[in-house]
Amino acid sequence: MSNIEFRKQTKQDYIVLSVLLYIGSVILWLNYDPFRFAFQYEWSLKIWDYCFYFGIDGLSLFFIYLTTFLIPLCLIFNWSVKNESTNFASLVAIELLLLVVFTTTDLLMFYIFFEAILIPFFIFIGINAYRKRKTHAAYLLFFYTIAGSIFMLVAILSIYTYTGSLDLYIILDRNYLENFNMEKIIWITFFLAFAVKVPIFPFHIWLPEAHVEAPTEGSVLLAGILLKLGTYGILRFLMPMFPAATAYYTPMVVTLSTLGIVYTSFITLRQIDIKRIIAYSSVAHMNLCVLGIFSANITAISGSILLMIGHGVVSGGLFFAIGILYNRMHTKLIKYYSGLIHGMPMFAFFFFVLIMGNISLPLTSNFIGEFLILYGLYSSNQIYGLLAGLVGIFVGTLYSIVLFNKVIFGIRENSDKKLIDLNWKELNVLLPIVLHVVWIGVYPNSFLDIINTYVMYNYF
Amino acid sequence: MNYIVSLTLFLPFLGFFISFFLGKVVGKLGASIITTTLIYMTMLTSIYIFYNITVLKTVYYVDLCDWVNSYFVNIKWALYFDTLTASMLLVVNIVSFCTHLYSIEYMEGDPYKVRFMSYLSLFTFFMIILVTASNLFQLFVGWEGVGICSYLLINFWFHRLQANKAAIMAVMTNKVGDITLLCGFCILLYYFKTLDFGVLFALSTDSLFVNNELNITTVTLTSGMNDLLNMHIHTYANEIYAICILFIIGAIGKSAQLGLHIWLPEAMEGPTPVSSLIHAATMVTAGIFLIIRCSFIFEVVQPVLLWAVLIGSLTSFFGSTVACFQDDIKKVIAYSTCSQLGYMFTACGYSAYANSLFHLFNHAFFKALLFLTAGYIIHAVSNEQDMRQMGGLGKLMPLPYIMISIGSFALTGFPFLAGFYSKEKILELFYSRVSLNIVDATQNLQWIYVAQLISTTAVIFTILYSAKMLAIVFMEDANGPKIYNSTTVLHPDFKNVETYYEWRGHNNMTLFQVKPLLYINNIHYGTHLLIIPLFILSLLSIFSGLLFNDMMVGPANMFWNDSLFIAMQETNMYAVNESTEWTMLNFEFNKYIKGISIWLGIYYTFIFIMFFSKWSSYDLFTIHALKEFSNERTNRRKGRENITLWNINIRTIMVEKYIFINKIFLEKLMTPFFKVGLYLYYTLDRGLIELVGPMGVVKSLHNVVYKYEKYQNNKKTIMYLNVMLLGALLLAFIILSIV
Repeated sequence: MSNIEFRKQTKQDYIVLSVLLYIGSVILWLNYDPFRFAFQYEWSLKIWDYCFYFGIDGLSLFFIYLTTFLIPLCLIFNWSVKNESTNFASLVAIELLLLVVFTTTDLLMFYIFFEAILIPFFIFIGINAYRKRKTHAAYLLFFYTIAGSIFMLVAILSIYTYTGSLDLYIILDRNYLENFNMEKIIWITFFLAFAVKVPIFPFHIWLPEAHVEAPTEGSVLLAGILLKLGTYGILRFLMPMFPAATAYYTPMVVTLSTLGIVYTSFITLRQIDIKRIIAYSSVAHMNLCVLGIFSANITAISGSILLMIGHGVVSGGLFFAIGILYNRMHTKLIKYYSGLIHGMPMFAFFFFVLIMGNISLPLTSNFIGEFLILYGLYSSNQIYGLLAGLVGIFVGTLYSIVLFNKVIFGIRENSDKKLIDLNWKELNVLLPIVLHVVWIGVYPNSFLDIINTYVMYNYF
Repeated sequence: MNYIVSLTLFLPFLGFFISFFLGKVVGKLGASIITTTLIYMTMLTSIYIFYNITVLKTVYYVDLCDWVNSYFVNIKWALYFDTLTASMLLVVNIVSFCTHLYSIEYMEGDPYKVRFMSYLSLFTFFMIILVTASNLFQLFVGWEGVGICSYLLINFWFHRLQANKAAIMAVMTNKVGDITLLCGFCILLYYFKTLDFGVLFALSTDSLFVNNELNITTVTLTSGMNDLLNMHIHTYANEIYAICILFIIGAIGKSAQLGLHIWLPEAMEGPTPVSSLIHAATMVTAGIFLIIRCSFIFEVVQPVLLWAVLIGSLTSFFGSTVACFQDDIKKVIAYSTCSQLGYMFTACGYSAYANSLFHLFNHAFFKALLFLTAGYIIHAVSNEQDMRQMGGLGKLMPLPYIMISIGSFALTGFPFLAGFYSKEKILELFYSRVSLNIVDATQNLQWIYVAQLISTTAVIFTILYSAKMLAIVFMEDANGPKIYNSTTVLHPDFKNVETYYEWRGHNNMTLFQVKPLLYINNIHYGTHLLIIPLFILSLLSIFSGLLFNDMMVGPANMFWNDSLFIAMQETNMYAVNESTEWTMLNFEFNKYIKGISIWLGIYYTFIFIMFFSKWSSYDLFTIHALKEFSNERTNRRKGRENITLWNINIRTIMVEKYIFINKIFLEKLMTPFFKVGLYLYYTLDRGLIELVGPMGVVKSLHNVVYKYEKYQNNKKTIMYLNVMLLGALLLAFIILSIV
């Protein structure tokens, strides 16, 4: 077996592994009982005296599904890129780490793997990125996350001194925080870690940088899953563990995320890099999610979870589309794009559907989530949040449609490069994504049935 | 039965699906045939539904499946067919079929014809979703869907920058209405816990009835809360008022009313069939449809309807005056659409939803006819849209002449054509409406007088621009250098000018004449595919008013069958004895009020005479002066000075489309968006946050390191060592001394 054949075999093995994982997650979903509140599929891992518990509930099920759905697509997209074996290894490593993060109920385990994802990701950006600024971006990603979450480690350890265990349900059972000031301080440390990941308004500038420098698959995973780690952490740990402090700090978070929506939406208007546009728009969408979560309304939280899934699919698809463009033209500046529909009608169709998802057109995934959030915001009397959401939708439409119009329509300038439409590989990447976008838009109940029960049980 | 009803929805989608995804397989002809056939079948089903619902008095509710279920948000995919839906379906499908048939030939030369046909089908699909929706959320799907299809179709000739700009403008101005509508849904859902029409309307109007009797006076915002039964509605009256205002803004965006109208004339950049289907007959009427559909909510707070009256009448005035001074034949019709939509809005404001829908019904046919005929002319004269370049086409193209005449006469309300039955009635509504309790409740009678004055004036301008278009395009001598000047040649009988002068002594023949062969060769006449839709639509615009008048807006009809709601017993008025006060209000039976329309008719005739007489001293209204306006540049070149200062000023105002309105919306409103974006980016994202964040950290670290580096590079290492040694000794000494 020659070297090339061996490499090909390795790649095939990786893809088979990821597809098997995807099938596994589908089976998990099909066997999931939506009427049971607590964790399902529980198992535990005993290391010396310390027992780690794992389980899947309504929240983690969909993030597992999203992870296992996006990773095979990344692998397929990566098929003919150089450094592929490293890429494949790091991508599958990211997948496995993410699966642990989404299934664990142990705070320490969560922290360790939450941080551990940075390592393959750091390597991935460092090796594959396009420009020299990649080191800067990788450092930004690394240090922002570390700086945000290092205090969380201290807080976790301090919780351990009180409870003697870091399992979520044991922590929830024990009324260990007699002092409200203590709870407030611990809340802040947790919040910083998650706010950097989301990212909430003042902590967001690592994200566009990382997106612009990261290779396509990196951006897809970053926007599709890694950002959701922050909101996942908020929903899983922050809100159930410190309900009083959450209520206490809600005005601050609402203010920050309201500002964040308006601010990032306006900033996106003046970006010249396609990836930066999508990155900033992800910030706006994720801030809307945070706003929905902190509106303490049952519908809004369900909507937030649905919007996270929808946004994971849509922004992942958009980054794939940009990657496809980059592989052909080797630029990400909007200036050099125009009139692609002349040569790439198939690509134009997929890009159109994804852009429609981004501006939350009805029948696409984001619309349902955004409407539920807006309704929840009005119900919980947060008029400014509602207005910010509406402004976000309006400005979001403006930059999305201008981007689409510039890239796809118009006269084809710079016609020295021949336009090649999607090949089979790229079609197979974009088609499942678009199908998911439409599926969530047309029949979101397959998600909402499970989410509703989860939210009802856990927060109200 | 359900299958046939559901077919209305799914056949256009099937057409879209086949022609869009299998376009390469079926080809141009195949796509045209498939989409047109499927739309034809849809039209047949819609006629069948219309028969079933209006004649056999049935109502269909097709429950497809659940859509969104989350606590209080329970929304279904369901189709709801009542009289309103059936009438709209008829309009949408007939016009859509005509447009499909017309486009087969109109878009023949276009390389993306398959795509065009599929877009048309997709648009029809979304329009049917909008019309057949059983809840507001599903209506919103159609609402946004037609907006996006409109974007794609305006932008169909995507290589044109103007088309791109117009399409983006259409999307953005519609989006203003869309977000207000979303906001309205949130409020509505919060207070009523449902968006389903049936439940919503029952809930909203339930409180209007106290002890099974209609009790309007208790609904006003200011009245006290004496009746416990009315507590519910009194608590929510302000919220419902807000919802209605939000819905009205949404309708303003979609129906191109004053303020958000700017996208409609710009949208004429799209192909003409698109203008006829989307920007005349169907999509722009979606706003009107929303208000008519939600009449149950609007009637709860009737004072809010005053806004609709004011906006509608202002728009009708604005649209018709601007249309008088447009040169582009399509823009004239577009502004005309704007003004007619204003009439529909006004009618909604007078609570005369039936009249509004009847005008919508008629207007769709004659406006689609006007657009399609304009497209025929444009197609014929090699894509020239400027009316000033046309002229004399009456002789060359008699068919479009007839068709435009029918359309224009129907538009101006010529007796017994479509507009006569619907538009005139909207003007007369005022007299039936003005002294009713509802107007008293608004306490704003004077505003209604103003609105009526404005919309009556607008009628005159409607006649003016219609006649001007007919005159300039068809009756006048030919103006265009493109046609005449380039083809005028010396009469072939003469070798040169000298022989002509020689001959002229005993004959009166002219020197120059049109060379017929060249001219006719330039004109491209349409085949039957272009003409059949025109015939269908012209028949409809002649007879639809006559046929459906008694059915839709006749006295005491049972046509609407609970699909509309008016919080007053208007339909029973005719039955009341003549001596009661009700009779005085009923214009149908009051001879003095009835006379008003005769007075108006005389006024119109006077205007017509003024318009057609070349010797009239009223320059503004004579065709002579109008032609001078049109040929302003030509006149200036030729040194003519018959344009008065007054005329020039008027024209400047009008042609710039009441300058301030466009400028305010685009420059004063949108430019700051971009400026704010840039400012925020540089001050915060690239400024403050970067300073406090990564750049600041890196720089300060760098500074510290640099400082120590500087100390190191001072070549005073020996001194450092000495100091260190000293320090160590000191430390040792201290430690030893302690020990």
